[in-house]
Amino acid sequence: MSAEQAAFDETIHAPVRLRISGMLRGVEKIDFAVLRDTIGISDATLSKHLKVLGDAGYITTSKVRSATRNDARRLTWISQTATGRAAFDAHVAELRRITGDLGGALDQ
Amino acid sequence: MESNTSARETLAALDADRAALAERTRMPAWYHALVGVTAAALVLLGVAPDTWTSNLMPVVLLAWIGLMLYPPRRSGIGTSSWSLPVLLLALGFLIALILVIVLVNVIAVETSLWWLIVPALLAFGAGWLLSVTSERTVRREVTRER
Repeated sequence: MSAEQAAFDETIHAPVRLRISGMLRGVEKIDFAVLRDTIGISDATLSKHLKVLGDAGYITTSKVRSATRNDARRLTWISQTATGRAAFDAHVAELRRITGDLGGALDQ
Repeated sequence: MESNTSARETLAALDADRAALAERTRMPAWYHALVGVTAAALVLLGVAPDTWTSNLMPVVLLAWIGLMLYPPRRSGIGTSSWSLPVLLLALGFLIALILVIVLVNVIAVETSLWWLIVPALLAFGAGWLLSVTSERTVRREVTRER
C-alpha cells in the first residue's frame, strides 16, 4: 500500500461501488460479465454503478469484439483510472485509519 | 462515516471479493497436465528419428504457446504484470527445452530410445510446474494491492 492521504470518498463508499473499485484495483481490466457474476448483481445495477464511477472519472470502459463468440455482441472491459486508484487507496487508508490497522489488511 | 466495526467488515468484504476473483483464475488440473504433455511431446518429437514425426514439432510448439497465452479460465480478467514474469519464465523454459533436445540428440544417438523417457518425464514435470507457477503469479497479482 502506498503512503497516500487517507480520505473518505462518498462516490466509492457505496457498497457495490466499493466492491467494484476493490476488484478493479488488483487487475488491469475486467470483463463486465465477470464483474457482474463475482459481485452477484444484475446487469442494470452494475451499469448504474459503473456510470456513477465513470462520471467521477474513476473508471473507463471499452468494447471489443469477442474472440470466442460468433454473434455481434461485444465484450465490455472496465479499467480503473489513475484517479480512481488514488481515490480508492485514499478511501481504504481512511477505513484502515478508522480501524486502527495501519499495516494493511488487504496486503497479502 | 463508518464505525470501527463497519470499517473492518468493509475491509474484510474487499478481501473476500479479491479472493473470489482470484479463485476464478484457478486452472483445472487437466490444463497443467496438458502443458506438461505438450512439453514432453516437444522433447520426444525433437529427438524423433522419423522425419514425419519431427515435422509435427512446430504444431505442438504452437499448441504449447496457445495454451500458455490463452489459458481456459483467465478470460475476462486482464492483469498488467503477469505477462512479464510469466513470459520470461516461459521463454526460459523454452530455451531449456531446446537445450535438452540438443543434448539428448548428441548423447542419445547411439543409445536406446527408451532412455528418452527420462528427459520427457522431466519436461512434463517442468511444464506442469511452469503452468502452476504461472497460475499462482496471476492469483497473487489479483489479490495483491498495488
